[in-house]
Amino acid sequence: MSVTRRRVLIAGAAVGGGLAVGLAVGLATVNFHDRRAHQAADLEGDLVALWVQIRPDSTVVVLSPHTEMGQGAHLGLAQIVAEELDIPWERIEVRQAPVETGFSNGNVIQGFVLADQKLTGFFQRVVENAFFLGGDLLTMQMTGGSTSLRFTGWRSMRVAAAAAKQMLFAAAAAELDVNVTELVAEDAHVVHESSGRSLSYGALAPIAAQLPVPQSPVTKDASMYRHVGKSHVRPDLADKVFGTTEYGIDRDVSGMQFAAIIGTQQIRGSVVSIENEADILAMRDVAAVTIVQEGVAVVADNPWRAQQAANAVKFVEAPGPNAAHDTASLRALMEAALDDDERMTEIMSRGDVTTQTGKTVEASYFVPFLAHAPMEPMNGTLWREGGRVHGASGGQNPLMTKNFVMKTLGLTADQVAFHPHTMGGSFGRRAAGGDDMHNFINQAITAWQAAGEQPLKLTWSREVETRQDRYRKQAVARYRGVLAEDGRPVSWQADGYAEVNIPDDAVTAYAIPNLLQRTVHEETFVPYAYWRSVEASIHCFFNESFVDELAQAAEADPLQYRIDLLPKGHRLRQTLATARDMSGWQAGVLPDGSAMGVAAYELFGSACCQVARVSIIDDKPVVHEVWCALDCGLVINPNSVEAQMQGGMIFGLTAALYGVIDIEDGGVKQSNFHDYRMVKLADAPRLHVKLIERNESPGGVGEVAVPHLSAAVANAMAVLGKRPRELPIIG
Amino acid sequence: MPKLTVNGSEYEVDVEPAMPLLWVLREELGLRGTKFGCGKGLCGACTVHINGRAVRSCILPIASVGEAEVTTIEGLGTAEAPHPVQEQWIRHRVPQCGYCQPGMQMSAAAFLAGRTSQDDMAEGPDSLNNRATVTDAEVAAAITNICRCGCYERIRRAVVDASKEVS
Repeated sequence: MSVTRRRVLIAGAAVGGGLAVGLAVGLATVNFHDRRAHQAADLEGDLVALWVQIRPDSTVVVLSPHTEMGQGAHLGLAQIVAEELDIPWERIEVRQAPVETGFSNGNVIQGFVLADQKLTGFFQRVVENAFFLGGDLLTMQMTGGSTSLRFTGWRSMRVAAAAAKQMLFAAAAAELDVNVTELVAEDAHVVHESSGRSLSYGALAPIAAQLPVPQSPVTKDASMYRHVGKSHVRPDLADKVFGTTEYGIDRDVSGMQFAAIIGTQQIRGSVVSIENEADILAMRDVAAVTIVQEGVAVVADNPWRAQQAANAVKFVEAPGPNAAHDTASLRALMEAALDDDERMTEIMSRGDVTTQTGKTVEASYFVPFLAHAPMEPMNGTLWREGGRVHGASGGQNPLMTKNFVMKTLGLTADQVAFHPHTMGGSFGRRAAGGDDMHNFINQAITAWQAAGEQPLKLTWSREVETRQDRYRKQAVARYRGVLAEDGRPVSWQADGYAEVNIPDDAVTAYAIPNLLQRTVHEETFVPYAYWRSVEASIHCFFNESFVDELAQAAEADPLQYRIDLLPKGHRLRQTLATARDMSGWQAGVLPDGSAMGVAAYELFGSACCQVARVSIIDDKPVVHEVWCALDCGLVINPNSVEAQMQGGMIFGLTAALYGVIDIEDGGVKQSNFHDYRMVKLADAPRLHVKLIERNESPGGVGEVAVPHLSAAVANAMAVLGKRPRELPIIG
Repeated sequence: MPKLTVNGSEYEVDVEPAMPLLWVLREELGLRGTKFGCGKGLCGACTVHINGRAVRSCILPIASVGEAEVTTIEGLGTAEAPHPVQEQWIRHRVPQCGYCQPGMQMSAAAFLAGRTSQDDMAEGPDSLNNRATVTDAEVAAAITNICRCGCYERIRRAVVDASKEVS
């Protein structure tokens, strides 16, 4: 893409008084008047369709285009804005931005990422295709790719808040007839210290709103921070403890009916006919039964009744083209592709891997399909109110979901209202990147229409959740390395059947003189979705297992071996050294029969190293303890970052030990938590997290800790003589 | 028509005897703090107390509840009067997405209460001080709920600290 738009800071008077600032890029600038129209039409009271608003009482509202799924994005955004505006923490409030085009963040990403810096990593993928289907930036209100704080927060809201402060100061200087350099901020007032006079932000806001917007405001120096770097408490903590948070599944609409699904056996299967419709309709309080995408929906006045009836539906499924496929056949296709040099694409090549001689190490690896398994199953609610169709659901891209509803019903933006909810987990499942991710919304719409467009909530069973997810991909890889006399690798060849959109994330960081990485990849019929940490969940296991095998062949300490292979100054070196120190790292079998394994990987702008201490009991790994050293650049909220590291490690451990989605007769074999197992307290290791702080821009944290443990646990098991090369290790 | 006592209030509900308690609570009584996660008693998101014991309400037919006392997250504590488990949940900042946390806290509260009364019977009140704090292993054995966000480290610390208060 050759987009070169520049950001434009915008500001205006807020309805009800006050100052609103935000940021516009390209299309959004043009769209500014739309914002005001939306505001007039849709929004109540003093909300203005800009991100940061200073109200007459000197409180500040941050409108977050990002949604909450547990990652704490709202908290971090509030801290960044409070910092730049220099206000007390009590004065800031975060609200979910309305699901309107004025709040799309596609513009921000496009403007900042494409205009201001080289595209790297996940964003290349994000910007170039996945989220911009149809090229409509204005349908994007995306939370994903560990972007909320890095891009919306750090690169845009921070600048907008700095501009607002500068405007408030300029207004105060004029009002008090003093030089702006004589003014300081104190408790949401601009204070002229020598005369003791002051004006509140709220009083200054309407004056500031008339001033030109500084386009290059000076942001605060890190030495002055008082909110950034502090562990402020997330605003949703108490509601989540007392059970009062309203998730999508809790949406209550008067007169609401409930839909449940019985799914097809085949992935993306279709139902030809319902055999016992009359019997189903005769069940208690059943209102409708209808064929929907990937199954049959039953509508009743209680979700359990609806599910009981759905489970009783007998239907004929169209013969699927993939019925002969299973995990093994798909794997065989992948292995065959790896045998064919002509199908390979080089993604990185340096030196010559064919001419090196020495001790040779070869290994093959495999990772399976994975489901997301958020605790709150997919659900969506639809109703009519005030002449519009309303939709409610938790989602990582509510604006795209709204657009899906509009498109499906043939309605325009002003005929549909969409209400985003806090999510009971998502991990990529709710990151709607296209129609395919909206299968549950599509089912809800069909069921709603079949039941006379009475208010309706569709809720998936866990079985449907497991079988109608979109999945992390299955992948295979073959590695070949050659060691020099001193044990260092002189050659590294990696051939993978795996999607590689991001060479930087797929190719090992180790400085190996001769390196060839090739890939072959074709879509299978198994639908794909981003899964927390995306491709790194695959490539980290491959690369960090193989470098460990090389260290083992070289009879070297695997942790020091990694440090020695990294270029001087590489961020991973310090994470390795920190993890070594905090774990009391020891190579080899420990006195109690356990062993340590290590993995280090950089992703989403952060570097992370994890050391796991593992025993093998009854042929199975038991992970006792994990040490995690993270360099995520500037830490906005240490407690929140620690929480994401802890959670990411458990998410990664579940994939390492248990995670597998098998394909059987063209459908998904697993169905619920008994066969799609999760780590629980009994197998959750002790976790230790250390943050390596650097006063640079913040890196991602939500996904960063996920990929490492598969390799670290496998590498510890290798010390004990049992190296797993396929996941999951237990199953 | 089945009668039901929930959080100290009595209700009459007109539902099939087989309907699980979870759906009666959520949809007949509007108590939506108790969550649906799996429908098979596997994840514990739906955990409530029946006469003080932790039970997975998604597989408990309403007919088998009878006159027992049902307590849900709405009856465990409030912001003004939190249960010791909730105090520790806040102190340790346990929740991420938060969806499993009502069930998780109900499991923790029942575990701690049950443990205290068992000790009381088995060893007499004098032994309580010595055994006031639960161990990590006891917590892990007692609480089998799933938290997909992986908040277990904080859950464990919160339960251990709450055990000091509950006993």
